[in-house]
Amino acid sequence: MALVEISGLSRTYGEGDIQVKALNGVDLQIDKGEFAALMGPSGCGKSTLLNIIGGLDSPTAGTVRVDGNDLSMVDDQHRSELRRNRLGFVFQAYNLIPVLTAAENAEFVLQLQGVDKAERRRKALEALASVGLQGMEDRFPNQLSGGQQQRVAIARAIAADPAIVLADEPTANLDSVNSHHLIELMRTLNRDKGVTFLFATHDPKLLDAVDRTIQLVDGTVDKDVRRAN
Amino acid sequence: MIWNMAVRNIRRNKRRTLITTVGLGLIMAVMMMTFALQSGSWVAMLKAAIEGGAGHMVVQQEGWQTEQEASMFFDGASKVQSELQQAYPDATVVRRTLIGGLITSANGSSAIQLKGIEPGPERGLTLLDDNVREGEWLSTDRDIVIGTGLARTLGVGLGDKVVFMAQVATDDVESRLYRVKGIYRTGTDVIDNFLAYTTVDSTAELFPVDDPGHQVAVILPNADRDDIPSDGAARVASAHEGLKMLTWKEALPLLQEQMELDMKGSYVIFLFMGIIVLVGVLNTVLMSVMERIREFGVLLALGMPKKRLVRMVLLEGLLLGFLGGLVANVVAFPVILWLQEKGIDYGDMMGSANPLGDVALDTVLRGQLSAPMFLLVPIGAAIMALVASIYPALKAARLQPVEAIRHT
Ligand SMILES: Nc1ncnc2c1ncn2[C@@H]1O[C@H](COP(=O)(O)OP(=O)(O)OP(=O)(O)O)[C@@H](O)[C@H]1O
Ligand SMILES: [Mg+2]
Repeated sequence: MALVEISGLSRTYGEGDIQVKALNGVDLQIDKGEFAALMGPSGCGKSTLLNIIGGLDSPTAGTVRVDGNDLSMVDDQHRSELRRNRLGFVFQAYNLIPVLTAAENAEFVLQLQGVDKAERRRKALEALASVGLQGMEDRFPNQLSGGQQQRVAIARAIAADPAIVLADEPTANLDSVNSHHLIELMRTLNRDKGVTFLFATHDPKLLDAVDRTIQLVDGTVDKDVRRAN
Repeated sequence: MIWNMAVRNIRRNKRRTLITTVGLGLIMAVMMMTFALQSGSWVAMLKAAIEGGAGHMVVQQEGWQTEQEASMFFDGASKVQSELQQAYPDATVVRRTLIGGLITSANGSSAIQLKGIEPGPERGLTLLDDNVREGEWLSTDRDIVIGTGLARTLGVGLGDKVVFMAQVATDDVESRLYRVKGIYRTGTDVIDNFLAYTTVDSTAELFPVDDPGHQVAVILPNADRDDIPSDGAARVASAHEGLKMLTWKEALPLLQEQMELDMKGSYVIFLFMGIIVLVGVLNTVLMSVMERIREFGVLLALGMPKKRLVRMVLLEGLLLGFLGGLVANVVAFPVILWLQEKGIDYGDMMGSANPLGDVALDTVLRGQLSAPMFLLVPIGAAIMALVASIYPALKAARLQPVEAIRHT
C-alpha cells in the first residue's frame, strides 16, 4: 500500500461567484522512500495539495489516505495527532520557535509525543548532527543564518522518524549556495536513512535533484515524470 | 515545556513586560497603601475609642450611655470597681464621673463637661497626657487640666484658680476650687474648648453620696476586640440594682457600624484593582498573541494540541499578573512599613473633624501592615490576569494553521 493515496481530490475556496478551484480531481500516489516534487506555475495548487496531505487543510471532495489514515474522515484533533506523530513539516521560512534553542526546536515534536527527556535529547542531537549542526545546539534561531535555520527545521522534521516530510518551498528564501547545501543534505537523508520527502517548489536545482516531478496545471496532475537520480 | 516557553516568551519583549508589570505594580501598590492607611486609622480610632473613651466593657446606670446626665450616678463605685478587678485581675479598672457645669475664673466663665478620672491608671490609656503642652498631668485632687481653648476663654494660665459649679442631684448648686495644673491641645475643638479633667475623687464632693461614679470601665490588656469575655462584668453589674454592663460595641454602636461599612467599601478598591489588572494584562497578552500568529501557526502545524497552546498563553498572562503583584509588594512593603513605624502627622488639620467627638485621637495616621495582603495581592493579580488571558488564548487556539503560517 502506498504511503499517500489520493483519488478524485478537489479543493474549492470561497463561495458562489468568487469560487476558486485550487484542486480539481487529483489522483496521485506517493510511496515510501520517494524523493518527489510538486511543480507548476504559481497558483496551480501545489501548496494546497501539500497542505491537504499534511492534514492542515481538508478536501472539498475525494479521498486522501496518509499512512493508512483516511484524512477526509478524521476530525481536527486527530489530524493534529497525525501531524504530531507521523508527519514532518518544513516551511518556506520562519519555521523555528524563536524562544527555543536549536536543540529544543529539534526536540519539540518529540516532546509533544511524550518521549522522555534523555531519549528525545539523544534523538534531537542525532538529528542536528545529521544536518551538520554539531556545536550549534544551544544557539537560538536569531543566532543562526537562514540556511542553518532551515537545517534545524529539517532536523526537527526528521527527529521523530515521520512517515513523510512535507516541505513547501524549503529553498525559496536561501541563496544558491545555501540551497545547494540544503538539497544535498535532504538527498543524503533520503538515500542513507530512507526519509520520504515531498516538496512543492519552483527551484530548478531542487527539481533537478528529485527522482520524480509531479507537474500540476490548474489543479490537476498534468505530467508525472520519474527518473533515476 | 509550556512553562519554559511561557517564561521565555515573557522575557522576550522585556520592555513591554517591564512596562506592564511595573505599571500594574505601582497602581496596586498605591491601593495597598491606601488600604493600609485606612485599616491603620480604624485600628487607631478603635484603640482610642475603647481605651480612652469607653473601655472594652463598662458598667453604668441603664440609659446613661445615651443620656449622660450627671444625675444618673450610682453609689458604691469603688465596690463595683473592686468586684470587677477581681473578675478581671489583669485588667485596668477605672471609675469615672462626668458632670456638666460652669467653670469660672477671675477673668471669665464657660459651660463645660468635667471629667473625673483616675489619673494614674488612665494616664497610660488616654492620649491626653501626651498632649499636655504646658504644665503637667493631674496628680492631686486640687488639680484640673484644661484645653488651650478653654484657657483662653477663662483667661487663665498654669497655677491659676478656677471654680467649677454644678447641680448634680439636689436643688443645691455645689462648687469646688481647682488649680490649673496643665493645659493640653489635641486639635479637636470640643476637647480643647469644652472639656476639663480632674480626679474622680475630687468630684465626689459635688455628689450627695460618698462613693459616686457614672461609669466603671474595664480595659483588658490583650483583648480580641471582636470577642470580649464579658460574662464576669455582666455578673457584677447584675448584682447591683440599676446597673448594666455594655461591651464597647454596644457602647459605641455607631463606630462599629461605620467601620464595617468603611472596610466593606475598601473591597471596592480591590475590585477596582482587579479590573485594572484585567485590562492591562488583556492588552499586553492580546498584543503579544497578535504578533505571534505565524509562530502559533507553526506550533499548531507541528501538532501542538490546542489545549496546550491555550495553557501556554494563559500561563504567560498569569505570570505577568503575578509579577505585577510582586512589584506591588516590593514597592508597597517599605512604604507601609514606614507608615506603620512613623506615620503621617496630620496634627493641626483635624480641627472639629474628630469622628470620635470628645475622645482624643492620635494625630499621627499610621499604616497597618497586614501579612495576608502581601500574599493575596500577587495571587489575586495572577488570577485576574489569568482571566484576562482567556480571550487572547482562545483567539490563539482558533487559528487555522495554514492561514496563520501565511500571515505576515
Ligand atoms: N485560503 C484561500 N482562499 C482562497 N483562495 C485560495 C486560498 N488558498 C489558496 N487559494 C487559491 O488556490 C489556488 C492555489 O493556491 P496554492 O497556494 O495552492 O498555489 P501554489 O501552486 O502553491 O502557488 P505558489 O507557487 O504561488 O505558491 C490559487 O489560485 C490561490 O489563489
Ligand atoms: Mg505555494
